[in-house]
This record gives sequence, structure tokens and C-alpha cells, in this order.
Amino acid sequence: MAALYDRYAGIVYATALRVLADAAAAEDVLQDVFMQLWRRPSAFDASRGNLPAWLGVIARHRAIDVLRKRKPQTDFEDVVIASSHDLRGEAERNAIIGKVRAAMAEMFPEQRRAMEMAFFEGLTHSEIAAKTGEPLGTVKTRIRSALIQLRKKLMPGEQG
Amino acid sequence: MSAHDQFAEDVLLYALGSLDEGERQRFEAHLQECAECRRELLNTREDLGLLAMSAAGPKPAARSRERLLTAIVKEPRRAERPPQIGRGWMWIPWFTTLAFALLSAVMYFANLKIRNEAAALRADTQTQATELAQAREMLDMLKSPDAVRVTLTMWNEKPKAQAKTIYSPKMGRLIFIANNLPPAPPKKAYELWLVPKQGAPVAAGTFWPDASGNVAMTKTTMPSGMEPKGFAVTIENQEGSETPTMPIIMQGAGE
Repeated sequence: MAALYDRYAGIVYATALRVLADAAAAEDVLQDVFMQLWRRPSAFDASRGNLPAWLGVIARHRAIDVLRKRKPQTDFEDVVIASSHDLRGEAERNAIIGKVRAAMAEMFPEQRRAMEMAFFEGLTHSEIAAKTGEPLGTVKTRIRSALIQLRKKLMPGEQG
Repeated sequence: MSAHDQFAEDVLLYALGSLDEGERQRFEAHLQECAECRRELLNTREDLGLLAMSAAGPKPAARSRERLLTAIVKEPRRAERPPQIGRGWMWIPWFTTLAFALLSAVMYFANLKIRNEAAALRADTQTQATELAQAREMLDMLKSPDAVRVTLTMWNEKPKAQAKTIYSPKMGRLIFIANNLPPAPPKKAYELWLVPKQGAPVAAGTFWPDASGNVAMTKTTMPSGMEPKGFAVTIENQEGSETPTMPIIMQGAGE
């Protein structure tokens, strides 16, 4: 567990911190995620996808639950993701992170902002529409197209 | 817009946890039946996982590691909690021995878990790589310009245009292979149709035979769960059509 922690705590903590903007609360999420893994090691196996990406999704969900002051909504064992990318090595992970950041930087600011509000702030599309004063359809299109753009950028062979 | 299209829009919302309870239940029921949505959900979650990783940078304080390891020692996953032992100062050597034993057990199981995960990851990657290599090999051969395609007929018959479709309703995938087709007329294309047991034909893609009259469409995605009565080919404008134009050039029913 210590080895897993040393390798992936940064992903869990940074994701939670980005959502919560509170170091102590992010540390609580970090503790919760790894304790859940400790208690239920079957929650993750290789068939659930890449461990670092899976941990990123789990950390985001837990942090949003904390942000919204609600009980955990997602069972770890229900989260299964694809494994299209090799993220086993630190170099591979850093390369992917670089590509994601480059893709985000290339997005239109309002597109990137809508995506970040949905993912890192946990706002629903309707809440984003209300907050930005933009039509719901526009918000939906922006987030969907941002995700398509991100996926396209991450396709094997694409240069970051 | 079909029911599937409506649910397809919900994949991202579901992955983000933005659906309300009723929507979530309806979508999960749809997921049970729709391989395409299940596939898209896995991909969307991976995209979101990579997006989460982009926040990487800030590191947790060293105390977080201590806190976790302390909590783990206090809550061994597989070892039983030690029974209360001794009284007074007598408990000290027992406790020390037990603490070492407990720590050793914790470290052993932690190590075992990491090894198991690593082995499972390696096995999974190996299996996927093998399957991918086999699939690629088959597709490469089907599409290879030098592949010799021979249609055997009765000795006194000329080779006829023939086509074969393989469709998996569960996977929502279609393979179409044809040979001996004449070229499509200028500015026209052949178009393949899935003819369902109920409802209108569904376009499955346009195609043009190569110089030898061969066609191999191997990446066609169809709505999953459709029950085909058969397949048909028509000639349409080169940009394709949403409804088939008569006459039907080729047709066949399920085998």
C-alpha cells in the first residue's frame, strides 16, 4: 500500500485539491480513497482500467461528494474505465498529462471553462448555464465538443 | 432522434454524476442493453480520468503518508485484532512482539496485493496485446492490396458478384466483404442497408469496389440490438442516402 501511495497519492491529492481548494479537505479525501482500497482491495483490479486514471475518477467523485456535503454517491466497484493508454511508467503518465494540458490550452476559453466547471467544480449543465448566463444547449455542446477534442488529441499517433 | 441517441447524450452526464435519480436509473437500465453506450461510458470515464490527472502537481504533506500507514496498522485487513493480554507491565514484551508480527503481516499482504495487481496488469495487457495483434493481422489481410481473392464457382459459370455481411447485434458491429462488383456509375456509390424485422432500412455505409471489384468494410458501427431481417445494397448518390433508392442491386436474408 505504501508503494501504491508513493506512486499515486499525488494524482488523488491534486485532483481533490483542485475540486476542494482546501489542503486539509483534500488530505481527508486522499486518506479515504486509500483506506477504501485497503479495506476492499477487490475494488480495483486490472479489468477496471488504468489504475492512475481510475484513481483520478474516484478522487474527483469523492471530492465532489465532500464539496456538496453529501454521502458518497459512487461505489468504487461500479467504476470501470477503458485502458487505451499505457500509464504504468511515470514517463508515460507525464507524457499524457502534457497532452491533456496542451489540448486544454488549445480549447476556446469558454469551452475550457465549461469543461472545468463540469468536472472540477461538479456543476451540472443546468447550473453552468445559470452561472454563465448561456443557453443550456450551448453549454452541453461546449462540454461535449471539449471532450471530443481532448479524446482526439490523445489518440495514439497524435502529437501533444 | 432515436431512444439510443437520447441515451447517448446522457453518457457524459452519467460519467460526471450529473443525472438526477430518475434519469440515472433509466440510463442504467439502458446500459444493460446497449453495448455501444457501455463502450462509450468506459471511454468517457477514461477521458475524465486523464483530465483529472492533468491537475497533478501539488503533493500531499508527509504527514498524510504517516496518517495513512498509521491507520492501516490500526486496521489490518486480514489479521485479527490482538486479544487483550496480560496486566500491568507484563504486556510490554507481548505487545512489542505482537506489533512486529502485525506489522510484518500488514507489509506481507501489502506486498502481496501489489504483486497481484502487477501480475494482473501484465496478464491483462498481454491478453489485450495478443487479441489486438490477431485482429490487426486479420484486418490487414482483408484490406491488403496483394491479397488474392478467389471466388470458386461451378466450372461452367462465370464469377458472379457476391457479398457477405457479418453483423453482431450485441456488439453493434458489422463486417461487409464483397467481390466481383462492377464499378459504381459516375458520381454514384453503392450503399449497404440493414433491413430490420420492423421499421425502415438503416444505412450501413457507402462503398466503392477497388479495381478488381473487391470491397472490405471492417469498421462499420451500427446501432446495437437491431434484429435484421436481411441486408441489401442499392446505388445512391456518392454522398449516400437516408432511404434506399430502388432497385435493389443485391440482397440477402439471415443464414
